[in-house]
Amino acid sequence: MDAITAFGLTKQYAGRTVLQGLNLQVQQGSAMACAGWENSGKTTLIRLLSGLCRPTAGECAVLGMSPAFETAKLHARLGVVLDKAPLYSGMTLGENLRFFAGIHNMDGNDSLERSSFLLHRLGIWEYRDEKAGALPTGVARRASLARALMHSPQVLLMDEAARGLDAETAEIVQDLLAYLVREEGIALLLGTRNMQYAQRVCDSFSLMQAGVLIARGSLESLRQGAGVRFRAALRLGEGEGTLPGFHLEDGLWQKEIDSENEMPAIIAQAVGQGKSLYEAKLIRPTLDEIYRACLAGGRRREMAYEQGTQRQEDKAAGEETPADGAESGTEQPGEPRGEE
Amino acid sequence: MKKDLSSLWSRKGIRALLVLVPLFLAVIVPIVYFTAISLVPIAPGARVPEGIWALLPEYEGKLAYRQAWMEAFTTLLCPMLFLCVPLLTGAVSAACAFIGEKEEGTLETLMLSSMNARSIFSAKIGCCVMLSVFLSLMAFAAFFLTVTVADVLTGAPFFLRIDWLITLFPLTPVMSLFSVVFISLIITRVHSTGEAMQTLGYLILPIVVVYLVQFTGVFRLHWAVLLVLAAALGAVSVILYNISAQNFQPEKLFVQEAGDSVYES
Repeated sequence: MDAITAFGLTKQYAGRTVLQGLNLQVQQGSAMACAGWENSGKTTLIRLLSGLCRPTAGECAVLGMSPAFETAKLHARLGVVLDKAPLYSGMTLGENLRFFAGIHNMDGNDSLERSSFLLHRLGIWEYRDEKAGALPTGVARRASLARALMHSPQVLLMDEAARGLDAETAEIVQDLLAYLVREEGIALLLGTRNMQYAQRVCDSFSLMQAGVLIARGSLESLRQGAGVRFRAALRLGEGEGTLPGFHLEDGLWQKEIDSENEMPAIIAQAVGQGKSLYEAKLIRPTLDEIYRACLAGGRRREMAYEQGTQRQEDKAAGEETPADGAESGTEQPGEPRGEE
Repeated sequence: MKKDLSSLWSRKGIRALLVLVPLFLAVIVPIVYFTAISLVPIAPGARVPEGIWALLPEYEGKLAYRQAWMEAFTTLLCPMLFLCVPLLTGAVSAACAFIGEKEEGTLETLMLSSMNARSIFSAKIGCCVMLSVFLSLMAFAAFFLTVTVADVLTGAPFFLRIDWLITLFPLTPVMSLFSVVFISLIITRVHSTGEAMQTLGYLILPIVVVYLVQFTGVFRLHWAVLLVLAAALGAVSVILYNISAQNFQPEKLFVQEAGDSVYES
């Protein structure tokens, strides 16, 4: 079942398009990251899906409800963590959670049980009696997450989940999110510029740039679509000479390969050549590398398009149409799209 | 509503403002005035200006010099002075409840809860009006005690008559509602609590003008005029309430500022 759907979602703000023709589906019980650099439209997407702003064009639904028109009803089943959405500074962390539980009509026992569970899982139980305004950044971020999860939402939207968190606390949050997706079956949409964190938390990805969805799919389908290859890396003994077709990088002999199935043959070849093989590993491309490749691919296509158009204009107008004009909103899973 | 009340009361600066302003207007000013007219030596043959007598015809020739000034004070000056209390307390509490929360970012957090925007708006308006009316009534109680003692000491007539009753009800709650709604109306235009409080000038100015013309003997607002004013202000408040409630939507509250970075990331 689709927990989140968006079709041709567009948002213009002060005459500027910040999100353009976005299509999206997130299944219940899955985690998707909307990953992209600054100004890619992630926050706008999350705000549109949470009903904080209305689309200029297109439509979206969360749990079958329109965020713009059924906002309060939707919020009863939706949790949202914004980058800047603090708790009440004059109230303690516990009071804040009880206050928001009260708004969601939770009774005292349920509220106590849920807040205790979340505060323990997030490692901030000892801060429960401290004023929210005095909480350290990392604790405040986790407290915001606890607030969003108090009413056991079916969908969680998170903007910049890992911001302000150190490695240890980021892992605590990651564990909780994994638990919620796995055990409580929530749908998670994570907006982030931290590709590494997105890769650790989510199983599918929507890569965004300048308000446009440039690719979407699983890590593997994105890798294939972007044409980013695996790398075989071998560590040989000192003075073992070179391996034909390999280059030396970070003390490892590396070579790009198309499939992990090539690894046994590569190892056998190295051993067959009488090399002392100390280590052999398959280096999988990261989401960050795939994202960069998608951007580079988009730029190449753009340049080709522009050059092609220029040539056509120089010769005679209207003879041929450019070969690679991507259509808005028609991207295939895993297929990178050119920037429009 | 309970959260808004405790939030307002927990801020030292706001609490001081909400307590000290009514205390100053309802207790300190009457005490200073009473002390002044009691201690200032009276020159032989001194008379209250004709303009003031013209506004208090029922007492002309019946009151001594000090009694006349006390009567002029409680009848011509104090109602306008007292009306500043609901106006100021309403505006200050609304500035904190609406603009303060927007400034801190907690309004957006609240908008993500299962309460709809209209309910949040109504709860905030209700809270601010209740607080303002409560503080005004407390201020009146203190004023009543102070002025009654002063009236007894000077032998002036008891001040609480029909124009004062109309000032208390319906003018005070209507004034509270008007100031709260007025501040809620500007939430999309101002960026800080301080900026919101600066707009108080627009609200206070008409009262100051009426106070000046009354106390300088130009005219006196008849109780029927006060009643009409209250009805008109009430009607305006209801209209402003509806306009403000329509504007109280996340889209308008958080997207008004051009170039807001949150919409770009």
